[in-house]
Amino acid sequence: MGAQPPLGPEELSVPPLSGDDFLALLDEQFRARCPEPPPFLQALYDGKLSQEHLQMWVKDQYPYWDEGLVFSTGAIFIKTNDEPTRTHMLRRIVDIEGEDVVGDLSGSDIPSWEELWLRFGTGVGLSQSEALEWHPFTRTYFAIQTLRTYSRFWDWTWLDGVASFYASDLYGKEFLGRAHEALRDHYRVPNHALEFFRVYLGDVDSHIPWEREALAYWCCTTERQITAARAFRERLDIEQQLLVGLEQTCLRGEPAFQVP
Amino acid sequence: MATRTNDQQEALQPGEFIEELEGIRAEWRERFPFRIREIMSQEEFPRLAAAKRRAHMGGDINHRFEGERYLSTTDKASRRMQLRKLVDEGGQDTVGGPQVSHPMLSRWESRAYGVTPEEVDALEKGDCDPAELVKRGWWVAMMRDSAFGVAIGSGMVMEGENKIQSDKLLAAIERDRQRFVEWGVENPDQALENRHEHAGIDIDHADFNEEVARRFVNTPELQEELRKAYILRLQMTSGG
Repeated sequence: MGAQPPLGPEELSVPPLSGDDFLALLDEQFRARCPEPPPFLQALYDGKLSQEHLQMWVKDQYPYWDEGLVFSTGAIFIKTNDEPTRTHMLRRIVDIEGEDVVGDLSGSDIPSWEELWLRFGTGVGLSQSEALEWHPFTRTYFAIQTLRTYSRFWDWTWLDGVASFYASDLYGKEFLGRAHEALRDHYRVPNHALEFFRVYLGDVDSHIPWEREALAYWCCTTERQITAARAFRERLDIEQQLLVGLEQTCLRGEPAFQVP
Repeated sequence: MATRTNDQQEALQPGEFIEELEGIRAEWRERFPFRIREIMSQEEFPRLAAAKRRAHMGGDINHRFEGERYLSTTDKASRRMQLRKLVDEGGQDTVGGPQVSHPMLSRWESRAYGVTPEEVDALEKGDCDPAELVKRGWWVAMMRDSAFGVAIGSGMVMEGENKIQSDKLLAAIERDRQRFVEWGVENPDQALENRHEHAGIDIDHADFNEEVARRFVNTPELQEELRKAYILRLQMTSGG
């Protein structure tokens, strides 16, 4: 619920879709919202970005992979009172924060997504200090803050949060999977620096099934379906807005505003 | 028991501050002794079942207050330690470890006293006990509104107590285990695992809480905030 007026009896008296039909609706909305890759990523796939552009991508998106995802995922976790779903979310937080946090239990030494993202940056010639000192584009910052606050407060319910995860994972699977291939094939980024993509894409694959299951089961009323579908679309918008500053600066040559 | 520092100009040294908090606890325990629970007769089961039913009413809040602590922690290393605590309490089996979640341990304990899983499901979906509603409401609000050092430091009250009393708690659990076997209680290990877990894992958690308080509760204002939270938590767990 953003600022939309409340739904009335007319809208809510429509019977809910079946679980399968609701998932099909979301998948259709994904295709409608993202009919093609964002321009920045399309330029990446086409081999048109310079090394400087890649560096800018890494440093501008770092706050998203760091505190943006940590905070928003944790905020949805707190709201979730269904234990099986919450357990999947806990696993998701561990993936984001690094499986090495529970290395004594899992035997894994995979670090956090943000650490792997910085290593990717090193692979394209960006130092960690440059990434950490960068002031993100204002639009990127707005997108991250929106994700944080919608996840934290009443704008999204716990179930809307699951829809938001699903949107983000579909988007990442579709577009970052291709980015991985392009970085390897067009830009010759060293294999070790691409671990982020392998880990992230593997994690996303492991989460999509439970997200679909939870959405099919729990979105069992018209109101839940309407609000979850809205959160799904809003998350896709947020994902795309994260790249607007980069597109303006790198593709159109118009320096975008930056956070002071 | 008043908090002491309206005119305090400088923060206490970490060791001095922890010692003061332990002094508050010791003074409190003279009036409200910590009870080492031991079950001497099966006739106690109906009373224990009633207490468990009350605890299940309105759902389990572990993820809410521990999650709030996680969310507000701005120091990355501490936040990841808090995540580790979330895994310990939310279920180590989530990541391949041996222990189930604390809500599941609580259900196992209830089962031993005759509260069925179906009954727990219904209780969790129902209204909270009114006194628990406001106690838990304050507890979650304090996590949301406090600096993370205060929120995590407030765990020193109960987890710290379990650490202090760990040997006695574990010995009492062992005696209960022998009695449960004698009485033919189904799966005594599962029945007692909730208490066993808290008497054990809480030691690590208590050390973490104290370490965070030492490092991050380092101004007179924050120390006053934690003193107040500490006393309120003692009151909350003593019938307040």
